[in-house]
Amino acid sequence: MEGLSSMAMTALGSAYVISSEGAERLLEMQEGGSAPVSQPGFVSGRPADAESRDRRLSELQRLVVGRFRG
Amino acid sequence: MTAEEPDSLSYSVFALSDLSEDVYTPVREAIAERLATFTCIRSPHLQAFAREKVQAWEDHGHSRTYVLVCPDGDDGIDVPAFFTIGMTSLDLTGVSKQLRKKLNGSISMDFTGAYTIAELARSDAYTNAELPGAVILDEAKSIIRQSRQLIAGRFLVVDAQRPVFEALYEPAGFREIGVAKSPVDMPDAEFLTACAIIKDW
Repeated sequence: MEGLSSMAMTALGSAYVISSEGAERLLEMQEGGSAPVSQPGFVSGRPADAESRDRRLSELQRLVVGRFRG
Repeated sequence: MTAEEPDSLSYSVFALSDLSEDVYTPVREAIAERLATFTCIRSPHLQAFAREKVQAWEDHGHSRTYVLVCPDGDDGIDVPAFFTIGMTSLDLTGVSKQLRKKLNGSISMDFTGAYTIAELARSDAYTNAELPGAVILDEAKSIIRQSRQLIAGRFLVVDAQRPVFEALYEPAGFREIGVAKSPVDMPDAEFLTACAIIKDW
């Protein structure tokens, strides 16, 4: 069993004050281009269209309701 | 449901806001039950957020939480992971005008907005082989990508412990930009702030 965690809840309520060194780093990163959006071959478990979402939710609904009928 | 590798977990991703309709009350309640027992021993803060605070943050619109959901034989469904996304800002007032101009494309800005992954966690009940952290991160990034395409944005910020940064965020293109203050309840943990450039997503 192994957990994984990271967090920045504090960031939601305050600003990150960037130092000159931090800004230099950001500039360097910006000139290097954007980070990859995902790993090669990644397939999202959240297809974007609403129809897919409703179908997936209905599938979960069957699983949840089914445990009371079993 | 997805299934990418033979050992990988089949899951689906939902925003908690997807579950607001009355028709989905049983699913909403089942997911709330799973979150109420979510286990992440490594981070008491994060475990408490999942168990007690997530809905309040959602209700007040401070952030959006997404749950990965999978079938579970005994309980119907389980929540092996979740992530929470919100917005923050970068204060550039301490940076020289010349550097600010370079960073902002000659447009004068003292502050600039940034997305943040405020929480990202996998339950202790699942292994990295079953659900790699990189997959959870990719799910979070795919949501941020959609948002960036609609309303713009250049930066994605996260606070993480160094081992998590090195194993998860650095390979995904994040770079350390400073040391963040540790969240409440984790005074001894060393957190760092990392950022990814997302302007071309």
